[in-house]
Amino acid sequence: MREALETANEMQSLGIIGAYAVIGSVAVIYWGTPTDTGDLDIAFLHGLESHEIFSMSEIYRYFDEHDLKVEDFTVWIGGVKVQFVPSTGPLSDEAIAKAQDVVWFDVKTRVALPEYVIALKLVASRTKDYTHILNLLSNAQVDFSILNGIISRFELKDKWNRFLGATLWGQ
Amino acid sequence: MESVPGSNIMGTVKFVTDGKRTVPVEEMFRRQESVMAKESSLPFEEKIRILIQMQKRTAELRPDLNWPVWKISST
Repeated sequence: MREALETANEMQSLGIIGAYAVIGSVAVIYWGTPTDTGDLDIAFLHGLESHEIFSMSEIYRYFDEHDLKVEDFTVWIGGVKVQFVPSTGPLSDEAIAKAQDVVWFDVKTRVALPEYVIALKLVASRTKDYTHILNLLSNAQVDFSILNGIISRFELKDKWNRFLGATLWGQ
Repeated sequence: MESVPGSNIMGTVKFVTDGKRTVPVEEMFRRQESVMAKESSLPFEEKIRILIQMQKRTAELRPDLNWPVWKISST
């Protein structure tokens, strides 16, 4: 884990990726309770417009130069399977920009706030995403004024209502 | 864990058993909540250790998934 985070920090300092934040299941684990996952997801800024296509070639060149084992869309770093994910639009841009500074395994890193983790999981809306949202709603300190603002600004109301209908959360 | 014979899941279940004893359902839920509260307040590094145990279990139960199991050294 330490090496993976140090690698992300080095890639950022070299300008290979922009600012980044841990998102996905590991962010759920940090804010909530442990849940099974295979990947450490790292979302990063890249400065391109949403219609432009980000090239991963420089990232893969870095992996190659450091003898890191690439597997599908992930890479093994220090015993941890990591997925570097280019930010996909304004929601993930904001999630990265507003991420919280933390120290994990003695390494400074950043993790998306629980309200943004929930919003990103609403966008995906797979069964496991609903489970993770429930985990956060039950175990994390979720600020509902922030969450409601995100849901409103990023037009996630329909997805939120579908989540409520499917899980009966709050009933 | 099974429900005691004669009970059902539609609101009349009062007791469950883990094979050794019976406890009220409400008490079981309280215990689950207590465990989750404890787990959520664990240090992140400890939560990752629990995750790796989960990964090992998944990998054993479902070898067909080729589920990754992390290895962390300096914890």
